[in-house]
Amino acid sequence: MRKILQTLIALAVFVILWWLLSAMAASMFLPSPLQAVEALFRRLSAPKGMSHVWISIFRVFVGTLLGALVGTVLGIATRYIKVVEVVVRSVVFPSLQSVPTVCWALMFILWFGYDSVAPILSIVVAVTPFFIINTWEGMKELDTNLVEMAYSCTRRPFKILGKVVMPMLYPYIFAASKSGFMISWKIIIPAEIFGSTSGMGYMLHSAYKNFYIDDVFGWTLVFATILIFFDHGVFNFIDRKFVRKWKPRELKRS
Amino acid sequence: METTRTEAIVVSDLRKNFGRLEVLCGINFDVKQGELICILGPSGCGKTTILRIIAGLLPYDSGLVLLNGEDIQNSRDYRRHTAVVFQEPRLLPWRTVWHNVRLPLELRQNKVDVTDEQLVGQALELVGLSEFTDAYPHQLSGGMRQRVALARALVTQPQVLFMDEPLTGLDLRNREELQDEIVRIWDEKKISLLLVTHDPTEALHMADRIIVLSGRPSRIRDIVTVSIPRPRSRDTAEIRALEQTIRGLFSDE
Repeated sequence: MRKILQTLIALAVFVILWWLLSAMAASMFLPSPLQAVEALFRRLSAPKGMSHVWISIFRVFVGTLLGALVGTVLGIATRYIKVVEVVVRSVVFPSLQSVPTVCWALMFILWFGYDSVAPILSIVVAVTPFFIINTWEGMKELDTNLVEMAYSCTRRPFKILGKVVMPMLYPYIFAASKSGFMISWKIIIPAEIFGSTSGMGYMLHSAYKNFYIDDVFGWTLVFATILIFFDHGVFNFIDRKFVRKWKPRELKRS
Repeated sequence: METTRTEAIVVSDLRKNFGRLEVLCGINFDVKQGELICILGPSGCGKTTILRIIAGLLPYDSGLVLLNGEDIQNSRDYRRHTAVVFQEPRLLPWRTVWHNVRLPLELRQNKVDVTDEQLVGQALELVGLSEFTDAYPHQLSGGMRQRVALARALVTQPQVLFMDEPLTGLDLRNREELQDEIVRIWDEKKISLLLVTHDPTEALHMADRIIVLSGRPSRIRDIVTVSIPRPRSRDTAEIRALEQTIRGLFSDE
């Protein structure tokens, strides 16, 4: 209760400050909170307004999921296959980490044109390293006693992977999903600005180009709301409800 | 009578080095079908290594290990006939007791059907945990956790059961209780049991024969036959005498 109150007070202070500043500045440069909220609803209720939101959400989800798949598979494979380890360590990882995502985005536009493909691939490139690193970490912390126990029951490696190893990795993959998802939202905007004719990034950019400044703020608000919703709502819920179960518990001594 | 029984396991001239460290140096013994054998030795002598090799968890350098007359290195399905109980229970913390016991079936088969579910129930009943099927490992005591591990090993109905100091972490009361229970289950299920321990009293209470190992590199000092009828009482003159003999084998070194 106390925490919610604190958050509300902080938010109120923020809105009041914004409002005071906007009263001093020309509305061209800083619209008031009310104007921004107004613009937000105007934009979202406009025909196709929501569709731009949905398409961005869709790209973020597909991109994050693909990145999760690639990163997790690579992360696990490095542990078991030497060649994969060398390739990931010396080629994949450095190229994903050292080349700025915007450069990747530009290349993808060059190759795939103005479509969903370029933003999605940009996201994949940005989040994959998170999943590789986290899966690595998880594989390092793997309880080898449990793996040996499973190995004493069967010789089917994929069964062991699915029933014993993967569950131990869930908390790590979840942590990567959480940060990867946040990164995706930051990537999708520039990717859509450069490489798409739809989505929230595109709308933000066209508002800016046409100097509809309250629209720019409106879209920014939509954006922040979605991010907060997922971070505090969805991910916290999943964490409380599902992920805790997979975390190793301190076993009490008999 | 002993000689007419066929061997479940034959180990001949087993050798193993860890790098330049010689751990096992020519180990020979066998386990007859339905026999309860204890491997007894001081800690760090390589008795666990022997067990892990026979259980197929560790490669060996030279020698031969046969299970039902078949070389374990060539036998593709010998895991179907064996099960291992480790020193720690090694339960999956995210699974309930029931689903921990069910695990080996899931690992071996593509589908777990109704008859398999019955096996899970039977195994849990055998170790006296029928009322705890929905508990998680962290809610159980150490003794109960080891019982779950025992049920998990029994659920696949193995011919040969390997146990690696399964009672070491437990207090005396739990240990003695589980010793009797393991003997009871072994007798009921007619399995061959190979149990590693460092405790002579435990070996004398349970075993048909005790394989006494020397310190590293491991050699077999002696194989002691315990012909005391079961159920055995503890701390009788006969057992104390045998214990003296066994402890004598250690101090000779």
